[in-house]
Amino acid sequence: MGIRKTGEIELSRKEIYVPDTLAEVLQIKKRRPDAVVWAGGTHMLQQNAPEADSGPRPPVLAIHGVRELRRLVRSDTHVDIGACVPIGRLLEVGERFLPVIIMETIAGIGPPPLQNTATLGGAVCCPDCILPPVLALRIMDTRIEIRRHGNSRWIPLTSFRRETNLDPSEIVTRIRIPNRQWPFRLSRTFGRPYPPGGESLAVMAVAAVDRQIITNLRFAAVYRSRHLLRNRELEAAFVGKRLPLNDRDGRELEAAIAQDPVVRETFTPLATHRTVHVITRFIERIKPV
Amino acid sequence: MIVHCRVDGVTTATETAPEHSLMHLIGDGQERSCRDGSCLRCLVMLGERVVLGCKTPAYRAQGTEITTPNGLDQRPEYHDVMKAFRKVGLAECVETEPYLVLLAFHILSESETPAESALHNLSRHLNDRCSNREDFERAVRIAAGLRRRRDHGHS
Repeated sequence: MGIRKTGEIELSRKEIYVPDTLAEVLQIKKRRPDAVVWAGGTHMLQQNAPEADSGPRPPVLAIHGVRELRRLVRSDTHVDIGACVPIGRLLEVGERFLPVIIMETIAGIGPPPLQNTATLGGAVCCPDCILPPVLALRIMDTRIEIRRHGNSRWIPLTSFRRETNLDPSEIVTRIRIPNRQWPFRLSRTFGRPYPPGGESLAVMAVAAVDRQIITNLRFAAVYRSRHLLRNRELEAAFVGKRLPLNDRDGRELEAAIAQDPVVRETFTPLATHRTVHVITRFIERIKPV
Repeated sequence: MIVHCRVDGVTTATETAPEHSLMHLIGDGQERSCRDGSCLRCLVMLGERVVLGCKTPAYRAQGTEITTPNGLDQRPEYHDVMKAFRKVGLAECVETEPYLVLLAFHILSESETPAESALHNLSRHLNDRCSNREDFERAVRIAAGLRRRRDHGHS
């Protein structure tokens, strides 16, 4: 082993890059697209047991110390969160400007000492896994910035899949959350969403009302941190309805959720019941303002 | 990779792989955590932050200081915490005491006067039968008072 230059450690069979700036990160990714990006590294440690180490493996690109990726910037319309901002820091300062439902869900990530290491960028990029904070981000129209050397683009989080949207030379750099508070919101989590695949269910719902009319409604559920229920048609059907809603609306909602193909094919009867129950109770709680 | 760091004040150079956690730098004797971060028995201080040893990559310790529960007695806050633990009868179990002390360190490092919500948020992760949540919260409040008295002359 030897340190070749600042921030780059050479190993006998593998390397770890520890860049200080985003320009360095993009340069390394251009040169070594096979490098595996680690933000906090918490998920990667879970996945890569040391005993599984046999033979050459791709280098690690550790981006936790990159200044540009640890910034929080607030504007009138949105909040930009760097991919490497620790969850703990968001909890310290986010109360003033992050939507409440985001704060509630990130507070549920692990015990507080884990929050000093884990990042929102890591949660977004967690492969084949939708954790509760990511579910909340999805229903809030969050966008993410993807960068490569000499290029950047923004895409909606709802259409982001790491396996298909992220070129090997690209990384997720920022998360943009619209600056909007929802007067009605609910988040419920059953079981432990992490590690993914276990028996867990997360349900989120938000709504906005203008006097007696529902002006916006979003809801989503994720079972076992993998199977996502999001029915925009059903959400749209409730927009414009006058409050209070009648029993028929509730029954229609229950039936529509239970008939959703994702729910029918992947949710257990208990998960279906809980999803229906949480969302219908949320709808009932929406009051004129 | 060889990570150079200080563990409880002792300079070390340890051969590690990227997949190794901080627990690898501390020694096999402490490789007893659950690896998913729920048991809290791997808590250590990395610099001034309390982190889960099993969920923090070893390379992040390069050039920094790791403090395990064994190395805490050099810090003045340690004596405040231990005094508070003895007062409420918490410091009895050799298994749970080290990580409870580090959890107390964590919350005391966040704020001079820990908020009730922060205390509840922390103590709800205590699952061990030897760690009574109410006693822990009471001990942290006492330790915060002792520290304020030491630092400012009043609690």
